[in-house]
Amino acid sequence: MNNDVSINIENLSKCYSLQHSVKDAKGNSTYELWALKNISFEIERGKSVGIVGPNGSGKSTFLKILAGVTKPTSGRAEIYGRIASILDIGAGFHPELRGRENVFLNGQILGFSKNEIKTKFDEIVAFSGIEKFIDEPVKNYSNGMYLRLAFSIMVHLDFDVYLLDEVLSVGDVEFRTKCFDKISELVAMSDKTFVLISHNLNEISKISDTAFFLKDGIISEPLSIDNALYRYTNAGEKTTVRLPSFVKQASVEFKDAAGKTKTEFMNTEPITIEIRNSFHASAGNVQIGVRLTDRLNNVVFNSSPILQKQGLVEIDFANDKKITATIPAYLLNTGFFTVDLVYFNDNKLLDEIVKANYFTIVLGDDFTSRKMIGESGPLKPYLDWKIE
Amino acid sequence: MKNQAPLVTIITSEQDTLKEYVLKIWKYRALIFAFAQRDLKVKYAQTWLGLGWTIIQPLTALAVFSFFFGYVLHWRADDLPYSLYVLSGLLGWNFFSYIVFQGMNSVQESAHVIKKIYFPKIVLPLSKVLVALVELAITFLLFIPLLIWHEQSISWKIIFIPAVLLFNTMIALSIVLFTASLAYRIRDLFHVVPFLLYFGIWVTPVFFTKDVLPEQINFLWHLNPMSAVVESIRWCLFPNWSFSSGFLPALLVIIPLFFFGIYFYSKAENKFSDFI
Repeated sequence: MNNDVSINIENLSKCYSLQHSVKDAKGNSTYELWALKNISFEIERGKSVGIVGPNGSGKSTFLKILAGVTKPTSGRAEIYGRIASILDIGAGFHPELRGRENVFLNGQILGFSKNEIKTKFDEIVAFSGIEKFIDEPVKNYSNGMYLRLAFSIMVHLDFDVYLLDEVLSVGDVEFRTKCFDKISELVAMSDKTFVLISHNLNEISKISDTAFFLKDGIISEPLSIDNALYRYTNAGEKTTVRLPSFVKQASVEFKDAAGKTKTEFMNTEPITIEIRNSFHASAGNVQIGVRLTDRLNNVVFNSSPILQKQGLVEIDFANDKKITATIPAYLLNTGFFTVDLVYFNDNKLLDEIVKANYFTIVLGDDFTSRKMIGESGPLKPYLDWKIE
Repeated sequence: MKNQAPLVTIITSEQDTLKEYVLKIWKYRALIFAFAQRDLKVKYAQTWLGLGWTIIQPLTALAVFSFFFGYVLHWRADDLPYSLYVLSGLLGWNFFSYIVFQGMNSVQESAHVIKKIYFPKIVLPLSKVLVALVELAITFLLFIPLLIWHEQSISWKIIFIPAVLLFNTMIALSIVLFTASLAYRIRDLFHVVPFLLYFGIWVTPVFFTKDVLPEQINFLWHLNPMSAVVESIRWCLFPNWSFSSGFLPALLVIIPLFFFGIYFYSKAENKFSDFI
């Protein structure tokens, strides 16, 4: 077997039997639920991967199988090295025991000997920042203290493979930063492998370079973080919420300066958003706005003519008017962005079309692909730098 | 640690063979101690008397039974003082019933860990055996003043006690391995087993001697392997106690049952995390 492989998965499937029958895709009733279908992939030693997907897509089941907590129905997986299955922070803590006793108990449940834990004990306690209360029963701990201690244990014991299920955002802001630094330190080591499930896209993008998109038990090919996140953010169909009968049809297209429709732009060129819509009925003064969202689902901006003192731009229901708005060049960072349409009057939201369309931005000629240390954010303005 | 042969975990739908499973238990032996330690610490956390409670419980039982059966009803146990007879019976029976009851509940009790971290689940009932041993040792302390009081001597045959306790453990675990394997789906067992334990003590010679029992239900006595255990404990402790012949046939039944129990449990435990 290749020495550089950390996790090798072949045709892993898991079927749960249900207590009540459900309808399958073909409309037949069945007592089977296939949570995972023929999953195969390989992770090299020292690599980190994220798994994203909507709720109920099989992410946790997948990690549970790798952790050995539950058996697959068919298929095979090989994991090289010591496995930290951290499906829940502080699983195995007993509320009646003291912090100190729980460190040992938890470490032993995770497969370490008392001596191994003893050598790390001071580090664990120091990192958690709860030295003073280490001899209190953990039932008297605040939620934050509990999580701090539990997290410290898992990052200080020496594992080769970490299976993490939504466990990184713990504690207060200060501790979370500390956790991330520690995790990043581990990720940077050449022999540690991470498999991370998270709904926090930001978290995944910081830790891994590759991600898989899992939906209805079917896993994608390995994707770049951007692509995986794109699929995840767009996992839901285009959705119209509130008064679905208000907007009859709406379309959004993106055009470059030459008027050509495309979905990939350079960050050095302007993007014109072109909206066409028709409505079912009159609703008085209707305002339209766009909301731009980045790959991590953060809102970058809201924009509407009414916010810009252009006066009320009333929409004529009789005609399909063309509405355009231009995003200036040198504003957005690389990555993909989605556009939502928002219809409102005075103070009321009338209709909303989430993820009406998306575009991708790539690096233009005026920028280098060099990266600064740290996070980059949704904007990449060209600043007037001077050194005097 | 880095120089160790690379450790590989293989995950398939296949079940462990009995041999693989036993090797796994050995690998996780430290966890048995860890869980036992946890139980003992938790049990006596925030109590004033701590382990003292372990002695008070059999002490009161001893006092009550000695008074009613020994003093009021004048039950006798051959030439042995009645209180010694009862205590030696309680030693074996309490050990047995603790393992059966706690062992069956142990899976449910640790549901939160089972759902999140892998370990061979047999570690849970095995840790209860250790706890039961500690409690047994403490109860045994009661024995010493009682022996002195009654001016009785103890037999050299006490060296066989570990073998009897091993047999006692195997009987208890045989029950636990089957009930715990089924109880996670058939919850009725959580009600049935305490009930059986409650009645079991009355078909085991803990309080009374064989001749007190009516002829018609004498067979229950012979069918019950715990009779053999309790009688054997007395044989180990008291110089003039005769050897229980029921011991050997019971052994022949229990040993295969015990190993089949381990196998049965190893099959069932894979489903624990999906169903509890």
